[in-house]
Amino acid sequence: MIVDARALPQDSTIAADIAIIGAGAAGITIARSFLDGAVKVALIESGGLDFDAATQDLYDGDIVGHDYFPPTVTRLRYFGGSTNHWDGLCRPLDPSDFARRPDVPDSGWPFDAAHLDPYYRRAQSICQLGPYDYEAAFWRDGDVGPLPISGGVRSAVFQNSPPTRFASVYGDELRGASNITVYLNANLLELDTVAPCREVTGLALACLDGKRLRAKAMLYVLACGGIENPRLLLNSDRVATRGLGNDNDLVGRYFMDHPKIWKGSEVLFATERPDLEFYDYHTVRGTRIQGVFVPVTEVMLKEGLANFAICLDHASLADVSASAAALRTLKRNFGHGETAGDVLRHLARAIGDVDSLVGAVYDKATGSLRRFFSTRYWCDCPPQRDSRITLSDRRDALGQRRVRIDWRLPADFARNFQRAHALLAEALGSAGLARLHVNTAEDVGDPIASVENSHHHMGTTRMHVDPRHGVVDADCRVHGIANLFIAGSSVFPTYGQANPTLTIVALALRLADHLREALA
Amino acid sequence: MIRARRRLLATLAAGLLWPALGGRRLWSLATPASALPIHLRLVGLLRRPDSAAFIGRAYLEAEPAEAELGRILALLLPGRSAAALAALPAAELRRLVTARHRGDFSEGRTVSLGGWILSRTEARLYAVAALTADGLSA
Repeated sequence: MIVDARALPQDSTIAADIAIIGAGAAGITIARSFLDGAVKVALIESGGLDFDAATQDLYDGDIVGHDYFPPTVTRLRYFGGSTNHWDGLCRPLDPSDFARRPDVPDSGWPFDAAHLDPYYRRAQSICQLGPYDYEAAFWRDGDVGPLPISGGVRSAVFQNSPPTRFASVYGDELRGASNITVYLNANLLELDTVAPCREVTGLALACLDGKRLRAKAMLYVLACGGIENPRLLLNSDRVATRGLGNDNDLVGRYFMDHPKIWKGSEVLFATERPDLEFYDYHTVRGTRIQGVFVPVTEVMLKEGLANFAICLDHASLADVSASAAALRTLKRNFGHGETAGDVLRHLARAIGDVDSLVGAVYDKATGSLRRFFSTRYWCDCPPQRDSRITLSDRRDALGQRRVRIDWRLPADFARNFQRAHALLAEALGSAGLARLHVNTAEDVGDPIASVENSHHHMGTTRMHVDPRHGVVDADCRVHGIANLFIAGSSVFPTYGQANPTLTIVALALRLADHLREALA
Repeated sequence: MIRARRRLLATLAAGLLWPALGGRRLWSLATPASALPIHLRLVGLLRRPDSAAFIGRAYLEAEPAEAELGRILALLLPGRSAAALAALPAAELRRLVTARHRGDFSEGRTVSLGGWILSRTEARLYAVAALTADGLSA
């Protein structure tokens, strides 16, 4: 059933066994896990069935530190949440992402990748993906396959969800479920508790039209994303004055996202039309995939590198000119009227000659755009305690303190960026396929300054078995609070280079199992 | 292509007139490749020595200490004298350069020219082309 909370009587109480706050990928997945069972589920959503500007404005906050896309842009606050506009790129975390790395403080999950594997397999289906296989070789399709490279990088794939709009795809199931009620336009103001804050006793809810409601359940699940989850905990400070679950000053800390550089480098291939279809979006046996370059795990660990992914985009004329200008600038005494195209033609011919020695086959070396690609780079970052979400002094329409976002890049980000591209250059060069130009501050402006976040809000209620190091335990239960659980990417302690939604759904399925056990 | 390369080598052997006159004009002369000095044989591996020379000049600007033919030849294929290299059959010379070039990328022996990441071997090969084209002077 779907209910507009604004139609409920003032001060009425919603009663359920499980109250899930947030109807995005995680919240809907957990609710569906109880479909038509005996457990009564209330799925409480801030927005309605469609976008509403006033509701969306509740996301607004202050950006400090590194530039960051505001949550009003990156999130959608209505039924289905941000799955209403996600791209659909999916990939599980790598096994190394779960492991504790001696060189990365605060790294590691309480369990390994194999533990999450069965949940990932189920998440594949929920996200409408193909077979649970992300190795490049599996996705070879005749002549379309990964490049024959070796060294520090290898090919891997992302799968593309259609993308699954969770409200559209699963909304009817929830509407028709006998035991699940979706409450729309109901905003959580506070998680109620009483000293010594060992359990949540209820939810204080409000509609934007002024209506006040309450909800009571045996178990509560916060599933509002990596920014709203900590905000709701921190705003629940009437009894727990530092915020609920924040005894160790961890809520909101370790805020993470994938830093992305759109034009990390230009790649000049030795052939006129390099066979790169594998690295473009394409469909193999009914599944849409894209090949990327990722580090070889052993090399990554040996060199202390961040996990990363690099994909190829067709280069623009501006990209080509910039990278050519780099060489022209260096060759000061050779500027007799040569254009950027001349410089590139020289380079293309020269590397074509040398690479022909290593056995590649060449068309005419013309230096045309069809040989040019640019790289898009994104990466893992080590957990950083001071990268964090706190509360602003500004308040929203419901009187709640807004967020203050302070996203920080690690000190070794530039080194990781450079080394990742050097590894790719070495792999492509060794195979006689291409040369790579890494953008630097001198030629196209500092690429590091152009870093964007990837709209993946993670880490702010991190998982750790020890409450001194994590907000939730291995079961996603808030340390010290018996009936409060957290779903979504805010529990990720580390996160690799994979987009988070598949892992969010896998963890939601796993959490549903824990909830079932807790109710038994 | 083989014929064109032979013509080029012959041109280079005929007094290094290629840089001054434009390489293609004198390709009609014929000289056996094995009789050529090693730097000319290396340049002969390249189909477009003019383009290689362009990049080579950029390399020499970044690495001026290598702008001397004897020194750069020693660095290009270390462990073998110029005379020994010159005596190698063409296929063996090609194999040596190829192996060294691949090994550079595999082992991280690269050089960045204005952000372009090249193998040391190819950069030096281009530099040899530059020195040859410029009359063996930096």
